[in-house]
Amino acid sequence: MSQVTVLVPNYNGAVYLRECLESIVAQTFADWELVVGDNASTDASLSIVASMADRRIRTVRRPRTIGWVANVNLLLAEASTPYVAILHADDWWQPAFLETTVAMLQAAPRSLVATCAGRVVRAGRAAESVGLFQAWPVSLGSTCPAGEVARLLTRRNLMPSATVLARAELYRRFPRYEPALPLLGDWLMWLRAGATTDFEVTDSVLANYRMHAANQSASAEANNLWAMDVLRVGRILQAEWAGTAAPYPGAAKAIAAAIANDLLERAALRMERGEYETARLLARLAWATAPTAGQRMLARLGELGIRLFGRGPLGRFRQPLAGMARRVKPAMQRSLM
Amino acid sequence: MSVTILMPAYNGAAFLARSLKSISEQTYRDWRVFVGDDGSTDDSHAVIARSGLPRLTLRHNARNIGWAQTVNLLLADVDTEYVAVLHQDDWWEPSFLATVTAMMDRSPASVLAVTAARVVHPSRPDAVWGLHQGWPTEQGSTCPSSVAVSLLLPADPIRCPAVLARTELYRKYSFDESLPYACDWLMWLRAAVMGSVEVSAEVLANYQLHEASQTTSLTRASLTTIDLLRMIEVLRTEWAGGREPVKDAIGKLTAGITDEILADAGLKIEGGDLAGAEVQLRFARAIAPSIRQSVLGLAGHHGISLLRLPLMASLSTPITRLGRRLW
Repeated sequence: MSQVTVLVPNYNGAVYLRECLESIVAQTFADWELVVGDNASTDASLSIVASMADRRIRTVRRPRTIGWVANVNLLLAEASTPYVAILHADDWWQPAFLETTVAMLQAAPRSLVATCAGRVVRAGRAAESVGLFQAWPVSLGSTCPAGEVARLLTRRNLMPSATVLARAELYRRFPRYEPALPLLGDWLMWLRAGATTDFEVTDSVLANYRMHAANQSASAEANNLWAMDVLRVGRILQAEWAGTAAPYPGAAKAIAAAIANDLLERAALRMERGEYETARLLARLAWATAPTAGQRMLARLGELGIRLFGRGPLGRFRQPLAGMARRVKPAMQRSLM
Repeated sequence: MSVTILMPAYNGAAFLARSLKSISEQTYRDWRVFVGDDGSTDDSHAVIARSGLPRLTLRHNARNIGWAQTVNLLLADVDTEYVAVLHQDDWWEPSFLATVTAMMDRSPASVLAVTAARVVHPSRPDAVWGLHQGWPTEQGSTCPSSVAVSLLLPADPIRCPAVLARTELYRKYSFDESLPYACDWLMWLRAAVMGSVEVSAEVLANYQLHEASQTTSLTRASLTTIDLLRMIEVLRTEWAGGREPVKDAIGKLTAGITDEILADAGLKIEGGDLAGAEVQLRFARAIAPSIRQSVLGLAGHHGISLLRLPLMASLSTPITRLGRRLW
């Protein structure tokens, strides 16, 4: 049996799939098997997989397109190796990814997850790098302890799935990605796991995470679905982290505050773009979910601002004001929380 | 073969015999069954084998992925004209399939046929739900598309076992897997936009409502709310740019959902769960499209602050009962 199973969920990803698969074949660590989970693609995906001609690669096909979360959950059943990685068809690795992350987990038997830095690639061009290293400087040691992981990830998801190698044990303890969270299922997975287990962290850039106009992140942002997933993560964890189950002091309140904050930021962005109704709805939802009186006041002020400056004669001040609010808000936020 | 019955099953050994028996007792015989076992760990398989039901195909999911996902996978192999989804804990009266297929055969423009459903709950008297409550069938069984949409916008009176659908509905749409508590409502709305709906007032389906434990129902309450909010956003996108099927459809949907959240808040106050009620009232106020609903939300909110005072606490139940009756 090999050491690592790489799961590649794919739906009509033919444009990028070859680059993804070749980056796995090119790994310096060779003891892996690869399962492509094809979600009933209608493009050339299958012939690309077939052309790879590598005995370590196989495909499972869904008879009908299902949600990508369900596709991933079914793929998890294909892995019987000690380690599991999930690499989406439009992402790819640097050659040392597996060698590095496997060694990290071997050196730290209590950690269930190893994560590297991921380079965000926008429109084919490499931009910033993201990863847990941004919140946990590796000078503190490579092991970020349980509880602390959840605290550091509460504000936002720093870990694209491409940056992660997990011990199979992770998916025995947390058997599935949340089906109702098509956009943020991995965030919830890391938050839940990080509440009780250590993570290994490196700041080496070993994964590439593609953002493009056609991917689901972009279109979901456009129609508020992202905000709905954010709300749901908040409600799930507020329930799970209530009372003595909190992974760190004040966790339930902290996640609620992070959610309200996120919604307010989205409201300001919409305001800048002139999407008045959406901005107002998001500000109201932020108010509805804010855990402290200070944050609720901030949300109310935001909504009032949107009503005053969104339309009518004051509308031309809208853009500069929203921009200013976005810059000033983090400072106010800190003073109010 | 005319009808494919899809049954998503998960640890339902206690119920499966009843639902499978109700299939075998149908007076209409031209059906087959796909059971999708969603990773059961009980003896569901033995119960299915014992049922001896003919024309039954059993499929397994390698992992538990959810009922909507299971149904979506089963839909891949449907090649009949009609599809029914029967959950493991629901069951039919013997004439269900005969009635709904006859209505659909008569009316080629209809996408759905819906009967009345008895809602069975262990600690409450049975209630009957159905589209006949908004479309009295004396006007004929065919409810036109725009009327059906209007009836389905403020609330969902249709229970899943009471539905037969033309397969073309599921060629166009899958159940929305990100809405575990609202994907059937979304499906019926989309169906009503596609065509007319056949309505029967006969009670031919039984829908089992379970007694939920306190903690899961708490969590579920706020997750149901988020499902409803998400459904509004899904339809807002789908109907953008003048594609609303009836005038102010999103407004009507939002008003209905606000009422539902307010009603749930009322129930929570009665049950003594003030914190839960407060969350619900906040969401209701955040989306309320009408002044009436905003005022109700606001009043509820201040009412809760009052009820938190020690003297008032004893009065909470009679006051909220009165409040619920008034609105």
